[in-house]
Amino acid sequence: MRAARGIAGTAVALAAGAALLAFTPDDEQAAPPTGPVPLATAWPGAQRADIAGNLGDGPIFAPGVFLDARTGVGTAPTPDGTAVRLLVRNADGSIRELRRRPLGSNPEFGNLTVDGEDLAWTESADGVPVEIWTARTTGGPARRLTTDTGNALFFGSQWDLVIADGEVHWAAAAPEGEKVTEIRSVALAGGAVRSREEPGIWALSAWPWLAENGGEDRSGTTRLRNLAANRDTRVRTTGAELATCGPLWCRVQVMTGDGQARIDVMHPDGSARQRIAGGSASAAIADVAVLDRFEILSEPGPDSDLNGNAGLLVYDIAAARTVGIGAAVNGAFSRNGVLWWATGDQDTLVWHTVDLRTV
Amino acid sequence: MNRQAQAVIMLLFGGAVLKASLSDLYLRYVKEALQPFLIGAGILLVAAAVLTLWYDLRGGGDQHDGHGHHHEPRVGWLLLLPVLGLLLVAPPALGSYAAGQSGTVLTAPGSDSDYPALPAGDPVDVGLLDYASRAVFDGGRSLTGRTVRLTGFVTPGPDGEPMLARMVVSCCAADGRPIKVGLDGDTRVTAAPDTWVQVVGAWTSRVAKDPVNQAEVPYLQVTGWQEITAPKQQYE
Amino acid sequence: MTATDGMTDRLGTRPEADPESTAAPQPPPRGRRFGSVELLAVLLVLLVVVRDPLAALISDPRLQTWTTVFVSVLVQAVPFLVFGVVLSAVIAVFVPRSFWARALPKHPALAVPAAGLAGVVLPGCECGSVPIAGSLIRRGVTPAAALAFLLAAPAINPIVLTATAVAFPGNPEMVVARAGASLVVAVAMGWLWLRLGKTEWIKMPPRPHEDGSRLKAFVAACRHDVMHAGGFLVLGAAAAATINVVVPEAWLQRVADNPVLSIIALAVLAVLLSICSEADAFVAASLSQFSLTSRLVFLVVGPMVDLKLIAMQTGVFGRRFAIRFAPATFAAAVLVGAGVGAVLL
Repeated sequence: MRAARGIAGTAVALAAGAALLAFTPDDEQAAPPTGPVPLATAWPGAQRADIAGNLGDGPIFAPGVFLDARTGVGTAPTPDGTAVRLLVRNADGSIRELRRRPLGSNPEFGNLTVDGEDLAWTESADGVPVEIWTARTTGGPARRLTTDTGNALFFGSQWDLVIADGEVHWAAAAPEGEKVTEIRSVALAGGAVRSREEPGIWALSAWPWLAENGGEDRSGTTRLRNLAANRDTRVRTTGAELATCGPLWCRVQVMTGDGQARIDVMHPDGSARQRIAGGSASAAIADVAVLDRFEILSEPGPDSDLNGNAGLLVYDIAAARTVGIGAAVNGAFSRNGVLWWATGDQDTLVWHTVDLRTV
Repeated sequence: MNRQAQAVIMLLFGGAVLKASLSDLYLRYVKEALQPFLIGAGILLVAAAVLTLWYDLRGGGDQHDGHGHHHEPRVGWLLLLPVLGLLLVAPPALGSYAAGQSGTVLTAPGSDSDYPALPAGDPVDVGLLDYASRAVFDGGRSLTGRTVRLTGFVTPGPDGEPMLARMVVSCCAADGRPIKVGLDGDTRVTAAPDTWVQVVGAWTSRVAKDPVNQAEVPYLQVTGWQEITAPKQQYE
Repeated sequence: MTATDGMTDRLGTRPEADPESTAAPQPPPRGRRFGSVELLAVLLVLLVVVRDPLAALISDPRLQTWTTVFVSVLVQAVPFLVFGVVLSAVIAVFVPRSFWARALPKHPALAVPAAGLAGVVLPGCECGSVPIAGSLIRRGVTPAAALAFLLAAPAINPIVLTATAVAFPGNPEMVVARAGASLVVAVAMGWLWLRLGKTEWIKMPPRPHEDGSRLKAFVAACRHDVMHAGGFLVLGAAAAATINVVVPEAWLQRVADNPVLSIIALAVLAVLLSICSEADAFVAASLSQFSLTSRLVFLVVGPMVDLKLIAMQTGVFGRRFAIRFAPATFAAAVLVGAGVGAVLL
C-alpha cells in the first residue's frame, strides 16, 4: 500500500519534472526592447476622437483626410444610393457637400491634401481624365483647377498630390513611356500647367523632394532629389535591405533568408540607425516617418488570418519608444498629420483618430 | 526527504544542467570551456538518480526507513531553486543594471610593451577592452586615424548619457565586471538600455572617471551605429 | 556586516536544518501519511501550472541580476561538486578503511603531517571528509592525524586546487598559497591536539551501515553527498548573489580598502557562507574588490570552519569537541592565511 503510493508519487513527480524540463522560457530578445506604451499613457494631451462610421443621414463615411481629430473630409454615397458625395464632416456631425457625381459613372475622389486653408483632390470617372479640384476649408464652392493632368502617377502616398507655395504638384509618366518623369504644377489660383522633366522614375515626397524608386524591381528608395537645391542624396543601404525614404528618414526592412528580420529607421545617409520592430511587424502606411517622427506599424495578432485585423503601433523616433494604438484594427491611414483607423465590421464601423501634431 | 524524492530532484538538477549545457544557455553564466564538464556532471547526476530509483523501486521502497537515525538531508530541498532558475527563469546574461553597479574594469598592462597595430579593415572590429586599454594606456596611439567598430550593449552613464558596455568575465558571471566606453559626437545613440549595438567611430582624447571606482573611461567619437541582435557569447 | 544580516538569519538556523548534527524533531517515518515524494510531486505539478507567470515574475533588473549570479555560481560549481562527490564516494566505498591505519606512520607526531599530506591525494568535499575522519578514528588512527586529514583534505586536494586555478586564471600563486597555508593550518592543529586535546571530548555516535552491493553503497554515498553538499552550495550561492546585488560596490570597496577589516570580513563571510570547497574559489573570485590576501583567508577558512562543518563535526565528534575545535581552527586559519598571503601574494 505504502510502496504503491510511493511509486505513484514518484511517477507524478517524474512526469511534472519532465514537463518542467520541456518548458522553454520566452526569449525576450525576440520581442522589441520595451513593450508598447498605451496611447493614453504615452500622449495624454493628444487630441483624439471616435467617430461613428455612418453619417447622420445613413450612409457610411470614408474619410480621405482629417483637418483635425474631429473634422474629416471624405466620401459617402447619397442616402438614396444614386450618387457619391465628397463632403466635409464637421465635429458636430454636420456636413458640407463639396462635390457630387452619379454612382453609375464609377467616380473616384482621391489624393486629398491640405495646406493651411486650401484643400485639393483628384477626381476621375468613366470616360473622364483625371481632374484636379480645390476648395477652401473655410467655405465657398469647389473649383476645378485643371484637366491637364497628363499620365498622372499615384502611389498611395500622402505626397501624391502636394500643395506648396500656392501651387499643386504631382508626378506623371512621360507620354512616350521613356524613363522620364514629369513633375507637373498648377497654381491654386488657376492657369496653365507647367511641367519639368526629370530623368528616372520619381515619386513626389515632401516638397521640394523627389524619391527615386530604383533597384531591380523598382521597390525601395535609392536616391532623393531636392528640386529647389538641385541636389541628390544617395540612400546608403547594405546587403539585403529595402529602404523606403522621405527627406529625413528611411524605413529599412532588413531581410534574412527566412524573410524580414526586423525594421530599422535611419537617415538617408545611414546615420542614426535604430531598430524599431522585429520580424513580424510591417509598415501600416506607405509613407515614412509621419511628421518626420512617427513610424506607423502593424503587428499581426493571433486572429489576423481570419478577420484581417492587426495590432496598430506607432514608433516615436524622437522618444525611441513604441506606442500601442489598438489591438484589433482594420485598416490605418495617415494624412495631414492625423492618424486614423477603423474598428468593427460593416455594421458597427467606428473611425478613431489621433492628431499626431498635438502629441 | 526520502530516496525517491531525492532521486527526482537529482534527476531534475542533472537534467537542467544538461539542457543548459547542450543549448547556448550556459554561455550566459560561464565560459565556453566548461561545457564538456557540465555535460559530464549532468550525465553523472542523471545516472545516479536513475540508479537510486532503480534500487529503491526494486527493493520495495521501505527497507531502511524503519531506523530512526537514518535521516536524509533536508537541505537538499534547496536544490530545487537552481532547477527553477535554469528551467523556468533562465535569467539573461548580465546587462546594464550590473554594469551600472560596478566600476569599469580597466587593468593596467602587465608590462609597458607597445600595443600592436590594429589589423586591417575599415572599419576595424575592436573589442571593448582592447579599445579602452589602447585609448587609456597607449594614449590612443594605435587608434589614431582608424575607424573602429565596437560591439556592446547600451547602458546609461552617470550623467544620463548612453554609454557602450560589455561584461568581462574571468570564470563565471558572478565575477563579471563591466568595461565601459563613453559615446561622444553629434550622432546620438538612442537605443534603449540593454540593447545591443554596433557603433562605428574614431578615437577621441576625451576621458572621464567612473564614479564607482574612479577608473578612467575613454570615449569614442561616434559617426554611425546600428542595433544588432545579442551575440551568442555576450561576455568578453 | 549589516548587509548580510538577512542572510545570517537564514544561515543561523542551519545547525537545526542539518540532520546529522542534532536529533531535530522529525515525524516518525513509519505511518507517515504524506511522504516527501508526494510533497515533491505536488510542488512540481504546481510549478508546471504556474510556470508562465513565475517566469514572467523576474523582470526587475535587481532580481534578474541576482538570479543570473546565483545560477552562474551554481553552474560553475556543479562539475566540481559532482566529480568531488563521485571520487569521495569511490574512496569511501571501494578503499578498505583499514588501509589508512596501515598506511600512516605509527608515531603520532609523524602521523599528523603524513595524514595532512594524504589529503592531497584524496579528493573530497569537506562534507565527505568529516565522515571519513570519523571512520579513521574508529579504525584506530590517532585523532590528531585524523583531524589533520579532516582539515587538509577538503582544501588541498587536486580538484579543489584545479578549481582555484580556474577561478584565478591570472594568479597561479593563489593555488600555491592556498595549498601551503591550508597544510600548515592542518598540521598545526593536529599537533595542537596532540599537546592539548583530550580524548573524552570526542564522543562518536554509532554509524548506520549501508548494506547491499558495493555499487548500491556507492550510489547511496553519491546521492547523500550531492543532496547535502548541493543544498549548502545553494545557500552559499544565494548569499554570494545577495552580496553581489544588495551591497553597493562603493561600500564593499571601503571595507576592501582596509587590509585588516577586509581579512576579518572575508573570514567571517567564509564561515557564514559554508560553500563547498570545490566551489568556494569561484565565490572568492567574484569578490573581486577584495585583496588577494583577504580572499586567500576566505579560501583557507572556508573548508575548515563554517556553519555546516561545525554542524557536521558536532554530529560526528560530539558537541564538546566542536565548541573547542572550531574557534581554534578559525584563529589559526586566519593568522596563517594572512601570513602566507603577506609573503606570497
